[in-house]
Amino acid sequence: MFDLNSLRSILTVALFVLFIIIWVWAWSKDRKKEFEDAANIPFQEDEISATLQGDEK
Amino acid sequence: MSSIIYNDTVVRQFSIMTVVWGIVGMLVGVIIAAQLVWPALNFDVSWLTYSRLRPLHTNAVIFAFGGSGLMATSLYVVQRTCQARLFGTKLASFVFWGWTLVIVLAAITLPAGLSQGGEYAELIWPIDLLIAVVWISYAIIFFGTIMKRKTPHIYVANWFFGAFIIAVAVLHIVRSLAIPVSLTESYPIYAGATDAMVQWWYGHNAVGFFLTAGFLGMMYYFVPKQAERPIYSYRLSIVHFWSLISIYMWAGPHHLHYTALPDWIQSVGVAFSIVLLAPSWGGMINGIMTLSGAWQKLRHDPILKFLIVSLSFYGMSTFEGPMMAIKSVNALSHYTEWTIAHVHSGALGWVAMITIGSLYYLIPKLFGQKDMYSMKLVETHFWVATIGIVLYVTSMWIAGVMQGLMWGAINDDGTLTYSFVESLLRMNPFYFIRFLGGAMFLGGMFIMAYNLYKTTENAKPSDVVVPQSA
Repeated sequence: MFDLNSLRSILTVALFVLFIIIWVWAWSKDRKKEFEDAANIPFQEDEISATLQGDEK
Repeated sequence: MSSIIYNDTVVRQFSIMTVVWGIVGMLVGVIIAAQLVWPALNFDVSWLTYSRLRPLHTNAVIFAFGGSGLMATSLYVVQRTCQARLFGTKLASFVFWGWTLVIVLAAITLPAGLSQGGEYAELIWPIDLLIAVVWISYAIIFFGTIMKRKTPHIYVANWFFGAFIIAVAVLHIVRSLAIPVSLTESYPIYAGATDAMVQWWYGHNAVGFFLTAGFLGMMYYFVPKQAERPIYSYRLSIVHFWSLISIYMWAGPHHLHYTALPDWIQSVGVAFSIVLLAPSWGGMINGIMTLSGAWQKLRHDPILKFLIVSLSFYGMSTFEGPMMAIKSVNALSHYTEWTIAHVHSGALGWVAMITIGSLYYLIPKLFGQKDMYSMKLVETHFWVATIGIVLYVTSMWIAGVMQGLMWGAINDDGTLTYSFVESLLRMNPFYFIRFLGGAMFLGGMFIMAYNLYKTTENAKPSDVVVPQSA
């Protein structure tokens, strides 16, 4: 019947479902643009300083 | 224009000390490797014995070299990707000097034989307290900067650095809970098998969070920067992060196979260790594939060579690790030199190589230079270090498998085929090759130190203005 081991099984399945949800969330079309922008964060600074230098010239 | 500049002072301090502590820690490693070939090298001096120097070596390379490298890069990356000056200038200075004090105290107490006994948790309780205070200050300046950020998104490198900082705080505090009986002595609050389990929950997560998550943070910033292209898949990096941090926490029991630890916990350790292969390789592929379409850069750029070869070693050791965690493989490998081979393919191949690559990118920028003094020497360093690792790892693989087979060999009447000393004698040539490999890797660090000296000799620390994005 329902005991501690059932709880453990439920938790395992719940965590697995959560993992699938994270996967679906990360690959959803709505997020595509946001994540592409995020991937460019390390380069933002170069762009900004390039623009600043461009302005000075 | 605003005149706020990045706090690169603390980054410079930690960067330079990374090279210094790297040399110290690896030198101690080479000395104890030599002692295993020529035991007389301890000169019968108590503080020069293997048992005292070995914890000094591990603490120096992990916490002094690795720790300083992680603090330098994390504090640089968090400022650049948040476009904000580091939170708490004075606190940052305290973190640097506090951490340095911890290292100096470790270098005094460990050779003196003062130890709590837990592997990678040897330091005595007053030093443990100091570490906790310094580490929490480090967390405050790191997360304080994240809260100040101008970018809406928190870049993935900061997620990894953040997880590393939080996890190490939890691990260190829980493992170090002890009842002091004098200034230098204490007893852990756990007993028996529980103490062993807490120890390896701590020990393996030191590998998972200190030596993996933190350095993955480095990978997610410095590989894209040096390759001049964004990470291969940002989406994969999200799945990578959440799966890696949730699975690592449970892998520790694989250090305690066939011990008094309950069988089911050993099995949980095996299962999670095997599953760990997936996120580990996901991260490695994400890093290496960043070069997709630009592989030719690898031919000319020694810094990229360091970064990409470090990922190859990461891939190799994260395949080897899950395999060694399987109980039947562990029956052969445990307590042998195979473990030492595995640890060093991770520590030299992955951790040290990615740190060195990141520093070669970072140091010229911190001193207003375009490049290191000599890129040729960077290339030389790369080859010396790589050949050194290959010598080290292959010799210890052979030695380890041979040891395991000799220890397990049994005659028809049930007696042992070999005595321990017989297996030890067979190790000698391999210990010598390991000593050579280690010495080569240390030699590479001296090349780096010279290059660093020449790069910074006539350079002034550069002040970089925080950009004011529109």
